[in-house]
Amino acid sequence: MANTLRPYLDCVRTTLDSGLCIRNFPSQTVERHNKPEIEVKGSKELLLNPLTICRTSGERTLIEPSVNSVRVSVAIKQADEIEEILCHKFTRFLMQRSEQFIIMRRKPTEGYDISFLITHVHLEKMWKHKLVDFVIHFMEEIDKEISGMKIAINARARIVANEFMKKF
Amino acid sequence: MDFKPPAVIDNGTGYTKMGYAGNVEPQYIIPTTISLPSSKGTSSFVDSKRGGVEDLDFYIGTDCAKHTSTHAINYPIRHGLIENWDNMERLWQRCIFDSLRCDPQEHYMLLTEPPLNTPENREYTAEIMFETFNVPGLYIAVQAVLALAASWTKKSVAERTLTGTVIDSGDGVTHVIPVADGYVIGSCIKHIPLAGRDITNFVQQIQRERKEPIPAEDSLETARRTKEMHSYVCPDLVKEFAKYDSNPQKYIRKYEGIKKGTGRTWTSEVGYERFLGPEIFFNPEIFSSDFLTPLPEVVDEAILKCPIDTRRGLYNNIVLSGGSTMFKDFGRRLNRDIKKRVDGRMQANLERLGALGRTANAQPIDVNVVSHHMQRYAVWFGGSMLASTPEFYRVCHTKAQYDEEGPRIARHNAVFTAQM
Amino acid sequence: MAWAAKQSGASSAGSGLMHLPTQNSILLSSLTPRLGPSNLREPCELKVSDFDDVIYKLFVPPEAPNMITLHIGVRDWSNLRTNGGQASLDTNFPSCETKPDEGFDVAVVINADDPPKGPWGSTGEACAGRLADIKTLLIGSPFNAALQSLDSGTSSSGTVTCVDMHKPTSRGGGKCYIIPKPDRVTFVFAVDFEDETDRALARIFLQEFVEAQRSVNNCPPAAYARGHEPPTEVQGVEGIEEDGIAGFVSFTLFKSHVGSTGKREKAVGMLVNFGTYLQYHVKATKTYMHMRMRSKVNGLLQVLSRAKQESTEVKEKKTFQGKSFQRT
Repeated sequence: MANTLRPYLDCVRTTLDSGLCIRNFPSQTVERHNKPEIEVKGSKELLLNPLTICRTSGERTLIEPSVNSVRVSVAIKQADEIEEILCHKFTRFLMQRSEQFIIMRRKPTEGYDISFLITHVHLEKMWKHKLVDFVIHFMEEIDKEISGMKIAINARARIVANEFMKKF
Repeated sequence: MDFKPPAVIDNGTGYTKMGYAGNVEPQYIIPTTISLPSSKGTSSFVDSKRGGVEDLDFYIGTDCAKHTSTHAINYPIRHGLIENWDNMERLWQRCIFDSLRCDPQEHYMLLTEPPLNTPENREYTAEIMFETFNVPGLYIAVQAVLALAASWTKKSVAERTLTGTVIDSGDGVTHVIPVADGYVIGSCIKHIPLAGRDITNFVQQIQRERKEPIPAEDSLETARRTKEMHSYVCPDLVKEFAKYDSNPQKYIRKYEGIKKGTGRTWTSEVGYERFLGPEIFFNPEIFSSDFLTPLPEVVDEAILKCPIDTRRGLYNNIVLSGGSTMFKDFGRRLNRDIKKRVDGRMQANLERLGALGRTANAQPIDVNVVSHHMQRYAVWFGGSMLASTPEFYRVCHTKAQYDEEGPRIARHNAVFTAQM
Repeated sequence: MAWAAKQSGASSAGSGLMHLPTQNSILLSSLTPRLGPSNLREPCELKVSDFDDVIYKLFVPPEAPNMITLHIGVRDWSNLRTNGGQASLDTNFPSCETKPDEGFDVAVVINADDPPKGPWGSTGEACAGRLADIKTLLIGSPFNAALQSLDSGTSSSGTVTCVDMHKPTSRGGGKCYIIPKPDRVTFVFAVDFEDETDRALARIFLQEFVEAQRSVNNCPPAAYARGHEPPTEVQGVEGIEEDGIAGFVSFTLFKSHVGSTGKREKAVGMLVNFGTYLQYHVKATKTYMHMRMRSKVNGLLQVLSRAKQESTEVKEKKTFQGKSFQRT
């Protein structure tokens, strides 16, 4: 499976690269407001075609560009019950700290585990290529961390059980 | 079977007080310390792929001192605020499972926070308590409010109020915290950089200057014990000196100690430091050169900054909390000094009005400093008391609420009403 | 002697606290000065809890500071009492039983000037230690009785005893079934946790107990069964339909596991505290997960901060003397 990871991430990278082409665009309906159009979805002509990149049915990325913002939603692979729980715990923990993560949404979009919302304000303050790097790095890390945690828990359970049995 | 008693854990900078609600004293008073293996880096095992139980290899509180050769001591709380959440979570784990032996899923939990705690900290606390320990309910109480509640032991039911000024003096720092109806008036809190540790240092300094025959290694300990056992607050410094000089036998005490190693006993005299130690609160210039405002003045200033409609209540109920307010006659002296300032100011105002040709009648302001037996663990005791009332279950955040809304519920804690 | 060994058994793994002590340390620290050589005679009223829904009230009246009364509230006492609870109370604290206060099930009163003599010895200190371990003594009495008859060879394929260990979750669980056979005794624990994460973790842990018997010598064989398929030993037992609980784990003890009094008492302590042990480690694992997640958050934040552009604003700097200036 590892051989399909690279193309998957590369594809997300190039799509993001082209998708992150956004500019300041004040709200058309409310004066002096500036809203991420992808969230308000006020008028059709401001939205671009959303794109889903799938590696497997469980592992996919949804990129929704608009004139002044791009929403990136990631579904993380969950092979079994414990991975599901770990994924849920971890994403929840991250989203609890979304303030620090600047581009992270407090809630994921429907059907996904975690979402980012990148607006033109972010792009003005941050390097675009590094931001893309971060999203890719994030996707890599979260997979790695979940499987790492799963292994650690299993190993831990073994020690705990052994210690108990030794006592008899 | 009755409802299980809630667990009350008061994590202070220096000491953690914990126990079950409904008791008069905390069951454990341990230093808020956690010692971790010094050989490994603190986070090395977190990143390692290899699973293990290295994260259980730590000691807390009094056990820390026994393992200094292999483990390094850490202080997860600084200036009242939790700084290291990893260590704090593990400290709680050990407190709950090893010390209190309470099944966290069965007991409500009352934790304390300093005034001006950040909402994020509260969220993190709730996250740990609900997600790791699955507590059925959590309440994070402001320490000052609990100290106010602790003073209720001295009063009749009708006088119970959550309005008052709390003077909280522990080992590191002294706070003056005005509280109105259970809400801390955050903008009017005052800090004084003088507290228990400074008194100990001052006593040590006096003893050293007098060349008392105290072994150097016991010097600090002797000073601390002298402070705890013999110190008191005098009404007037000059008269007190005269009293000692005219009748030394009556006032000067002996301190006996045993020298470590040789086992020989030694004696030293305890003289003026008996009243000079606590005097640094009232005349800071005798000890410190950069903080010079006496405690009564700080209290007075803090109350004067508060909204005008709360001030009478704040003067009327000045509550002491923490070990460094335990000196004999501390409350009496504080009461007198504040009263003097308040009355003086009122007199001056009346005279000013009189000079303008107007007359005014002013109702005198009652100044009342409350001392009570529970001062040393006032915060814990207040928590123990409040957590054993039915009211507690009303103000608690429950697991169901947490699951519904997430950690942000902890941003707000309902205040207790004084009527119970 | 046996409990003294348990007391120091806190950290045998060489790395941290693996096993929680069976004694209640709060009780121990209040009882030892009163019963031990320091002969403290002070009134006291203390209400504390312990794992598995046990509550204590220690009461020493001011008018008779040598009479120490310990009230104990324990789950399902009427069942425990008939299954050896009364017997172990009588042997350990002969003629000490008294009427418990409202809300408690058992009470013992100890005269500190004349501590009762039990199988542990006659010193007051030993008595304090035993009292602090009374939870194991009471809940463990059916376990002890079953293992004792196994040791003495009087064990037979009798009825299954069900011990209500701790509060069941909404799905059930919290019980232990004791199944005696002539040559062995099987203990089946029905394990469940209310929280989903806990349940998933508990399942992983329970499965590892089965694995552990391969690497540990002479340990009792263990078996794991999922919640909806209870092990054959307990099939047909009343109230066993515990569908959806985390699982069943069973330990089978043979005569070699209970060869001496010390060994037997240790086994009882282990079995009684199995639920607590599991609970402690499940919670500790979650703490470990939190620690990992915190360090990961820090790592990710560092990567994100690399994306930030250096602020182009002119920074105000200070000279050594404290004067400020602007670098252009």
